[in-house]
This record gives sequence, structure tokens and C-alpha cells, in this order.
Amino acid sequence: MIHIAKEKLLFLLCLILPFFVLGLITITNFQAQNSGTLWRVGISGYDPRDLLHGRFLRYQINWDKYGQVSYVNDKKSHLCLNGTKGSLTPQITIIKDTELKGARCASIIASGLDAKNWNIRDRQYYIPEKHADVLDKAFRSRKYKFEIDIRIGSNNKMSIGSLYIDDKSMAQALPKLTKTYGKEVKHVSHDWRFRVHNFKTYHISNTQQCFAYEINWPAHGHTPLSTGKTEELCINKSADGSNIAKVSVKPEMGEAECLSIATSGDWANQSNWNYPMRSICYDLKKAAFFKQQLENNPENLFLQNTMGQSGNFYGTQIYIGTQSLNKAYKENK
Amino acid sequence: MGLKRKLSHWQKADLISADQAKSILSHERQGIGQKYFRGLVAVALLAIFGGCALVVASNWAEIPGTLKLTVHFILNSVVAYVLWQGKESDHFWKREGGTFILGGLNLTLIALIGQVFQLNGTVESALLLWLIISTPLFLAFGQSRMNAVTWTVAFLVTAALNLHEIVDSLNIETYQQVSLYTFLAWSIPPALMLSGMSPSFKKIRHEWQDTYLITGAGLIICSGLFTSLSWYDDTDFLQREFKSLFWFPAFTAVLWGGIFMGIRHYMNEHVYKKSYQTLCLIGAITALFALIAVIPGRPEIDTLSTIHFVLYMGVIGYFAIPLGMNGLVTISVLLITLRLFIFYIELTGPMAVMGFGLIVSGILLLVGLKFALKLDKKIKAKLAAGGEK
Repeated sequence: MIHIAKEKLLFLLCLILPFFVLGLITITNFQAQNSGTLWRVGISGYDPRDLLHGRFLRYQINWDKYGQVSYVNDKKSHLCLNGTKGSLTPQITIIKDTELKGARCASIIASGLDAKNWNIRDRQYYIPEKHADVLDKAFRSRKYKFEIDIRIGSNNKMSIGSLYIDDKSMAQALPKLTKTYGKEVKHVSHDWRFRVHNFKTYHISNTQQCFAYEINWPAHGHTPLSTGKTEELCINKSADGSNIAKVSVKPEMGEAECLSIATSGDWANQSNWNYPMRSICYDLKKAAFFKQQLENNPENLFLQNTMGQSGNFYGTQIYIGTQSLNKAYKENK
Repeated sequence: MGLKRKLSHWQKADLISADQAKSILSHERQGIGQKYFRGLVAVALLAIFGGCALVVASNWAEIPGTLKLTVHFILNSVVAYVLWQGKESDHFWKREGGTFILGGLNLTLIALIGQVFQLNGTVESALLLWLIISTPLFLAFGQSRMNAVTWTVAFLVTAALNLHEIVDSLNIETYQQVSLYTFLAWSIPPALMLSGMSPSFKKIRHEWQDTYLITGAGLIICSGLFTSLSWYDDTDFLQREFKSLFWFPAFTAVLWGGIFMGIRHYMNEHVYKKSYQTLCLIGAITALFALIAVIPGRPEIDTLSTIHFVLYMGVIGYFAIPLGMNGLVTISVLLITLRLFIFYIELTGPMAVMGFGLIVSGILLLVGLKFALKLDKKIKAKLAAGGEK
């Protein structure tokens, strides 16, 4: 009987152990997050290339904003926080192990190896997946003041609390941020006209003649870099409202300001804007007509492209003024 | 193939009689209605749980952390209650399913606590905590293969992710850390396999014992194959990595070889199965192969990697025959064939993948595979003949 009771007790202990341990962790952290001295400190991105790690915002606490503090690896340098009444902003000094006794600090944060110590640089803040993209963009833009609450208990360890953006809680700030960064910009198809230059003729057969040429980007307000892969371009109508493209580098967050976005890529792909040397071929008669136009008024030659959602160049045609070369040739015949 | 056709095939092959085929068919037909009913219940439950999950997921950000934690704790308690009931009434699915689900819920609860309190935790630390709190639960309640495999996989993943971190945190020299890490990593598979041989363990947890044996033996064989790659490296790596402890890998191999041979020698035939002795022998042979590969001052010849691999796999295949492990025999034959083909690629270099060389390579692979298939069939036929005797 006693043996059965003992066995039952053992089974019960095995069942209860996870509840006990996880319950203890929950209560301890709940207490740490809701007691102790409250401070609010600024944060910035830890690694600008990879701010959003899964559903976590990767950040570091900007201790140096509050005093002469720089990150250390030792376990002997602690932070001494003091503040004025009614303010959550601390003034911080570093104190050594030996100075701990008798130090006049409202709170002390110990240094060490886990996230509850001040000197852990790479931190992660869990953010709701639904808003992850918006928060990432806002954090990356550096236009907003990102801060977090920290609570420091009597054990000199800190517990991370809520996230604040421009002095508003995350939930309050999100609607405005979503308005700015949450829109998925869709670009409808547009026909754009580009000035062309540097024509070079070459033959590929007895019946055809080809012309290599370049888009005159500087004439549209943009000087491309000499590297293969470059930035994406923002394309808008010119000042007179015509579809002669006005080109600039795509702003990081302002896709909505562009009527079309031209994607860049490697030089082997004709559909990228940065494809260096384009070419066009005609039969000998049409080529002769084209050559004549080129000699008469090279300024009147344009390349017309359709640019859609994908940002690729397609439907490339040469225009003389506002008339396509094919049409002008037919009328001339 | 439908059951009716399958039964008629078996009947034609004299595996079952006409009466048996008839009874099997009528028995299976009786269960069809129930099967459909159970299937529809499962669909309905899936729809309810799926809907709940979708509602929770779409409002996840808006639900306060304390509420999420409270609901999770309640959910864990309900499953724990069902599990306890299952244990008391010896209901298989309540007990085994309950253990599995509660184990999973423990893991999600750890993740949720980390999220709510912004604990900055890592996957490896979460898994380590899970293993510590869930091992007693799995050992006490889980008796099925499903739970044994779940725990074993979790244990191996946790060990792989945490071992390096734990050793790294010790305040000792780097070469001492490397030695300790090597020793611990090499010791996990033998420890698993040997603990699976314990007769009392078999008595209380048969499925666990089986899982430990298979996993341990499988890992030992994999590590035996893996050590063949060390022939590609120069022996300087021992000096580089282990410094004054350059003899340590060889010592570890000798130690485990000795342990395996010792246990094999002292195994009481009345208590232990004969196959355990074979497994111990496989362990000792693996240790011997590892010893030759990591012994200081061994020759530095790349071809020895192929010889090591082929010989080792040949020995494993040979010992798999008396164990009746046909699958392992086939794997041995196939791996040997593929290793020889890789050796041919190593010899001919880029020539093997250019024009004529590519054709020859393809033909050689086909011939090799055909030969392997024949050899495999021959061995299995012999095995079957041996079994009939």
C-alpha cells in the first residue's frame, strides 16, 4: 500500500515539476517586471544589416546618452543610475566593484554574462509578427525615438519592459507608423521616354543593320555609378507633365513618391535599367531611314519603354519625336 | 493496391488460404464504417482547433501577456489532468498522447515566457530547460516508441546545441576544451547504446530500450564512417587542436574499445541477448577504426580514406547478417558501391565530368549499382536459406 502511494507520489512529482519550474520562472519575472525602480532608456539598432532577426528587433541600449559609459567585457564595472524626481531618464556613471559599498545610486545594474546585466550589447526585443515589417522600417529610418523601460531590482539585475516610440507606447504609435510604412506600394504600368545617344552601327548580315546605343541618363537627371549592380531608380513625369522620364535614386522609404521603380541587376539582363549598351536592328531600308533621322536631328530620338509593377524595361521602341520610328517610316514611304 | 486484390495476390502466392482471405476481408469491412466516422470526427475537431488557432493568431499582438500565460498554464493543466487519468485507467492514447502534447506545450510555454518577459533567451537554452523539466515526465509516463523517439531526438539536438556552449564556458585552456568536447561527443552514442542493453530498463520501458539501442548503434556506425574523412587531413591537426594532449583522441578510442570488449566479455548469456555481444563488437571495431585514423604519426595517404570506409562498411555488413538486419546489409553494399564510385571520381578528377568521361562515369555507376544489387540479393538469399536450416 505504502509502495503504491510512494510510486503515485513519484509520478505526481514528475508531472508537477514542469509546472513548478515554469511557474516559478513566470512569477519571478512578473515580479521583476512590476517592481523595482523604473527607468526609460534609448535604444538603437545593433546591426544595421540585420535589424529584424525573425520576430525580434535587434537593438543595443544607448547607455552613452546618459553619461560617460562604454560597453565593457569585465564583471567588475557596474552602472550607477540616478535621476531627478518625476523623470524616468537616468544619469549614469560607472562604478567599480570596490566602490559598490557606500555608493550613492538610486539603482545599480551589475555587469555579467546574461541579458539581465547592463553590458550585454546584442539584445532582442520580441515584436508582434503582424507589425514586424513596419517597426523594422521605422527603427531603421532613425526618424523616431525608440526607448524601452527597464526595471532594476534589489539584486542589481534589470528586467526589460515595454517599448516606446516617440514617447508613445508601441500600441499607440503603431497606427501612425503603419500609415507611413505599412502601405504596399503598387505601381501601375507607365510608358516612359528616354533620350538616347552614342549610336554605333554594326552589321550582322547582308539584309540587316544594327545600332548599339546608350540611354542618356544624365539628360534625365541621373548619373549612374560605374559598378554593375546599382541602386533602384525612382521615375516620375517631367516638369511639363510629359512622359519624358525624370529620374532620381529611389529614396529608402518613399516608394509611394515614385510613379515607377526601375530595378537594377547584373549587366547581362536587358530588362534592368543599368544594362549598359542596348541595340536595335532594322532591315537595310529602314536602317537607312533611321540613319537619316539620326544625322538630321539626334535630339529628337527617344527610346520608349513600358515599365510595370516588376520594374523591368519591356516593349522597347525607338521614337522620332512623338511618333514611333515604324510609323514614321511607313508614312515616309 | 486494394485490400481485395492484395489478398488475392497473397492467396495465389500460397501465403494465406481462401478461408483466411475471406475472414480478413469480412473483418476489415466491419471496421470501414467506424473508420469513416472517426475520420469525420477528426475533420470536425481539426476545423474547431484550426479556427481557434486562427482567431488567436490574428489577435496575438493585442492579447495581453499575462492572459496568454494564464491560458497556456490552464491548457497545460487540462492536458496534465487527462494524462493522469490516462495513467490511472491505463488508457494508451490518453497516456501517450497526453505525454507527447504536454511535452510540446512545455516547450511552447518556455518560448511564451521568453516573449512576454523579453528574456533574450536562445533556442539552445530553451531546449536545455525543456529537457531538464520534461525528462522525468517522459520517463514516468511515456511508454510508447513515439515518446521514446521524441525524447531521444530532443536529447540529441539539445546535446548538439549545448555541449559546445557548456564546454566553452569552462575556465580552462582551449586545447583542454577541445579534448573534453571530443570526449563527451564521442561518449554520447556508446552511452546511449549501452544503457539500452540494461535488462531492468528493458523490463520497465521496452520501447525506450529499443530506441536507445537503435539510435546509439546508428550513431556509432555514422561516426565510424565519419572518421574515415580524417584521412584527408594531415596529422598536424592533432598538434594544432589538442596541443600537448595530441594523444587524447587515440586514448578515447582505446578507452571505448576496451569498455566495449570488457562488457562483451562479461555479458552473461542467460541475461543478455547474443545480438548485444555483436553490437558491442561493432562498437569495439568502430573504436579500432577511429584509433587508426587518429593515431599520431599515421601515414598521410588520401586513398586510405576509401579503404577505411569500404573495410568498415564491409565489416558492419558482415556483422549485420547474424543480427538478421537485412536493411543494414543493403545499406552497407550500397554505400560501399557509392564510395568506390566517389574514389573513381577522385582519381579521374574533372575528366570524369567532361564529355566522354561523363558517359564512362554514368556507365560505371550503373554497372556498380547492378553488381551491388546482385550481391545484396545473393546475401539475402543466403540469409533466408540459413534461417530455414
